[in-house]
Amino acid sequence: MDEARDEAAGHVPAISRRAWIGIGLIGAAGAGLSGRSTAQGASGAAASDEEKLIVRSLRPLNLEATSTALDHRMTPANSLFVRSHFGAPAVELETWVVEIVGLVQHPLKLRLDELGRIETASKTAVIQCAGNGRGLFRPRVPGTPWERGAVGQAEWSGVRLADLLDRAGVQEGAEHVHFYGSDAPPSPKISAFVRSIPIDRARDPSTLLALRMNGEPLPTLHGGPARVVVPGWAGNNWTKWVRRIVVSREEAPSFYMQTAYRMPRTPVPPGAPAGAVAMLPVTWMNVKSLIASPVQGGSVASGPVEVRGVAWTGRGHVTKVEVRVDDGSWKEATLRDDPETGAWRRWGFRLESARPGRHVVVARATDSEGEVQPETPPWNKSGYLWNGYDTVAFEVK
Amino acid sequence: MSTVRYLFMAALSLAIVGSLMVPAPARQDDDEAEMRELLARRSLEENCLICHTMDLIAGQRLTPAQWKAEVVKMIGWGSPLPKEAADPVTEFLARHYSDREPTPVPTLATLKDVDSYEVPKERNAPAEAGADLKRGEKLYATTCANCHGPKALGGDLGPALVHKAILDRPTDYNRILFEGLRRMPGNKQTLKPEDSVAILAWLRSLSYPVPLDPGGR
Repeated sequence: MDEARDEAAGHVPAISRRAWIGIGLIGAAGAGLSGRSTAQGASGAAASDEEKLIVRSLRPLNLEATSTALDHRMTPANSLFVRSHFGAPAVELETWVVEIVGLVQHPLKLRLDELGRIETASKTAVIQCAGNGRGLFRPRVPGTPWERGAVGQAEWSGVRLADLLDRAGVQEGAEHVHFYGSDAPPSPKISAFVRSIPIDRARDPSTLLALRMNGEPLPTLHGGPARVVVPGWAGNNWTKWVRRIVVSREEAPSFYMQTAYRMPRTPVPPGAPAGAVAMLPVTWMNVKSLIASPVQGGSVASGPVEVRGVAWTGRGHVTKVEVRVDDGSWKEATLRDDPETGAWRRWGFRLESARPGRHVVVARATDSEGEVQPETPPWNKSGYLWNGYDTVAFEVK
Repeated sequence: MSTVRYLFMAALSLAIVGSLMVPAPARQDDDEAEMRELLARRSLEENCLICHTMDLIAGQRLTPAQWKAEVVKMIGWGSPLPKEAADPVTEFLARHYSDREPTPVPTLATLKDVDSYEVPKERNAPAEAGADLKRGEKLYATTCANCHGPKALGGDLGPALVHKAILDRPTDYNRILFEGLRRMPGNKQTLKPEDSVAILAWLRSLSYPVPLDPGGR
């Protein structure tokens, strides 16, 4: 990475020997600190451009959608968040083959054209990074400080994982299905990004090995040519660039299954000793709403204000979204889209009159399991599954 | 010189040196702090940025204890950061990226414009027709394998190259190969353009051997 690139990547520029003392200040200014403004504040200036992504890091490439880009039923591939641990492979360099091995009667090797001849299944589903909202937890936690946009929805299509497992013939005792991708870690000393899901979840008819997104071949940055789709579960389970599927008695023995992407069974306060509470893999998402319009820090013309957004959950579906403006009471928003497990519902609320000046709008969702989006979710040390009230401050001109 | 006179002169010179040293400690501390800063920054750039960009660090605001835990974790993952550099780097991180400061406002970019080696440019594949793969393999073994590993799966000082998007970005590949990058020396003097084509063609011909187990820890 050259100097210019490092600088663009938030690197503190090299400075003269005598100026080292002031580096903290220079670093802060160079990084564009401006009080309490957030990434969404930064996006306010160019909110019309939905293809602009918030750059969290260049390597690994971590890109976050702006809330404006999420003001749709489907998120276009070019505005969907991007996340991986080891970067996209150069997928075209070899003939892609997916193998299914382990506790199966007939180990399989299938090329993409062979996968394409198996009955196609499609599912509209929300994908959300397990760490979406990590940057909102206090005390802060290490890791990419995603705020609101590591989420999106698409129509995924490909092969039902259950169909693949049936073809291979799962043997007795099989409990988990492991997925190996083509994203090599930087060195063999580092655990590959290998994840597993329980066999029942793999057999669920909604669980896919997706080859297409929104009707197009799955783009490389989103896991193409083949990624796992686990509707209702967080993105850590949606392994990208799948090359090998292993049916096993055990969970995957990888760092990314046994240590990372785990949360305490019951909340553990900051600073409490680790190990007191069992750590479970991050699976089901929790109920959450997002305000897509107005944008954080944006301004709108006087007159009625359309507050719009999306809401989703893990188990079940969203049944209610409520909106609160300034110090007012909660009012129910109108839900669009039929309820569908794993998919989000768009919602809207018309604010008939808002005085010129600054306003704060807050949203919360409720799902069919009776779960209500909390004001602040329990803290966890890795910053997973933030689902606090979504809050947007805007100005009426 | 008499003993008395010698002792007097010695005492005098000590007094002079002593008086000169009165304001010195502050400057010496400054110089030492500068040097520590410089060394810590260099350690960080040379060891941590092998695997990730600086923005991954600079976007976070953590407590000294959290930075310490991050450094320990990264060393556990195989970061070649020398043992003696761990504390200075931890202090550097805590000083510049403190949880008492607000997080920086990130930049915006379209997917088309984002300047990352991790974005494959599939239509930008190099012309490799006629490239000498055998020669590429040999040159790789003598020039690159020491750091990037014999099969391009990476090592302590050079990241994995096999199947990486950089192999779809010949301009970036060539710049790094010829000009070097941080600890990686440039190869302008030793490699010709056709050598670079041969090495790239060989790298692009490699299959990524999906491991049989996840490896690492």
